[in-house]
Amino acid sequence: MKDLTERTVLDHVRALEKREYSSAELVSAYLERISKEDGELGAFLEVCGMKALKEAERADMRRKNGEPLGAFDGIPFAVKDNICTDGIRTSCGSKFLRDYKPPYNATVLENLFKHGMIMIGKTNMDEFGMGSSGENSAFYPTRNPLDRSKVPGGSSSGSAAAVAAALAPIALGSDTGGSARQPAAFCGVVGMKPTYGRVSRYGLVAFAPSLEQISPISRDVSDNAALLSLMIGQDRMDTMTYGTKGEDLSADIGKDLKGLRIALVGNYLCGEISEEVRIALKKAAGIFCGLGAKVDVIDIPCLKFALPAYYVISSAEAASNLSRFDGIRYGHRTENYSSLEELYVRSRTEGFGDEVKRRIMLGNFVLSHGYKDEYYKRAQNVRVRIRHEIEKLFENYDILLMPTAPTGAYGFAEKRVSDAYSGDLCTVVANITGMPAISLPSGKDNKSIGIGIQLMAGLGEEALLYRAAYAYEREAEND
Amino acid sequence: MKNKRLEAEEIRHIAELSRLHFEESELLKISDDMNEMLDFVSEIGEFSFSEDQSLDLSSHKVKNALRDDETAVSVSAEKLVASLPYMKGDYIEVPRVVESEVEK
Repeated sequence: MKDLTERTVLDHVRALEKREYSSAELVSAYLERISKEDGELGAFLEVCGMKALKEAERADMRRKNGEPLGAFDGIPFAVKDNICTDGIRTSCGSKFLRDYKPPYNATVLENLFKHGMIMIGKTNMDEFGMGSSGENSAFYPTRNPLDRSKVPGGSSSGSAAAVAAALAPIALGSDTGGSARQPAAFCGVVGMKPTYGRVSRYGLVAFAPSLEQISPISRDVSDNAALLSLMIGQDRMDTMTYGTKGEDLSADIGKDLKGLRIALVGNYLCGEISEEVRIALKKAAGIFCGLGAKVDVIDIPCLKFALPAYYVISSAEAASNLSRFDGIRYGHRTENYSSLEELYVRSRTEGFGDEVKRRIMLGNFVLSHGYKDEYYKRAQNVRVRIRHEIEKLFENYDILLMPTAPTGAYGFAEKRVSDAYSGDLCTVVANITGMPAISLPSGKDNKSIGIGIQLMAGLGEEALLYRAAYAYEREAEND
Repeated sequence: MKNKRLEAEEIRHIAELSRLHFEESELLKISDDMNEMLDFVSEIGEFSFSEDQSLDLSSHKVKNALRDDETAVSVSAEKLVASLPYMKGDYIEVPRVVESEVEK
């Protein structure tokens, strides 16, 4: 029998139903593993051990007394530290918010708590979500559980590492430009960025609100679909949300892929994409053909503008959003100041890390007088053009197949500023178009670790993505 | 657009807009970083766009979802007050915001 912690959420649900073990035993098993492993991995910023155990005991009582149970009653999960938790520190990986305890829960957490889920801790991240290696946490870097000399990816570094190291059965990340999918790929787990508006952003500390979604990171496709189904639905606190609660995004899992039309994005068979990633991509195309899908190679002309447009738009939004961190209302406040202006400047200068400062600077530059048409407006135009080009493509295809990242996981302190940005090449497309995309491990035969395959579909097509992803996952496992 | 380079003066101006301070010794590093980032994003200069192109990204799936304006319970005052860092009795302590005489 596999170690308790190495089972999936759906395994746990069945086992709890059959009383093979209790929720308290389950939570204890993860807490034990965290205390053994996390000193070196650095996946968590805070572990809520006592609270989680108490809730587990309550869940066990509910079950014992025959009370109504939630879909995932008594199942623990980990939460990225930019998602607000009532009374529990939410630092966003930043010194600025190191003591910040929100007075409310994010909507997505309220949804999951209603289903009986238990938060086991808050996970490490690149400061405010800015970074794709996990090295930009203001506290300590996270290590990749597959190879501890490598980065876990980011910015949801701790959530991906926690799931990969079985410190939690499932976790919430957030994805602004690949921040859930890329670390999922690097750590060998599954990450899904839902359609923009599927999941409420209320309580997600904003980095670039027009791009980001809270995103599940899981051991396999079925768990991912099951968790996302509990997260979605219109929320009065986020006017961009749509759809009803209770839609089952797992509904098409298990259906075959005969006749499915897949476009392999040809832009990613050359250029900056590493040889190994290209091989993995072609292999995935072969697997889909074997499953009865039709795969064509298609170039998308405007795609080369996606990455620069993403960095212009996300930095502009970040510059504006992070202006709320002024030393007055919450977070870090400088000790020494003689004017209001100095209070702002010193608090921000002391509280933010280098990468956050760089993005704020870039954002203010592209929005500044004389440059906003050249950069910001042009980037918005790129965004619309790419969205239209891809929507047109979806008239003839069901799914786009591409890599998650141009390379596998790399070593610490290896990348320069803009090198690291290039790592988001393939993931930002889903964010600037709002479309859903999922990253899947590409199999274990590669020399380098952490190569992910990405599937993207049209707006609202998560069920189709999960259907294709599940079929691929089974084949890749049997390979 | 590729050749746009930010000079020290411009960097200082953007820092001012950003409410950030860089020491003289840090200016070279942030200038290099900014110019590297700028080179990176300047590729969009090659994208030809039309002024009249719609910037509308709304679709049948994602649009503003208006709701009725109903009163509802919000976060309690006690809870909000409990989350404040500086309290004196029932008073919220805020930073002194008057300019000092020396500055003027």
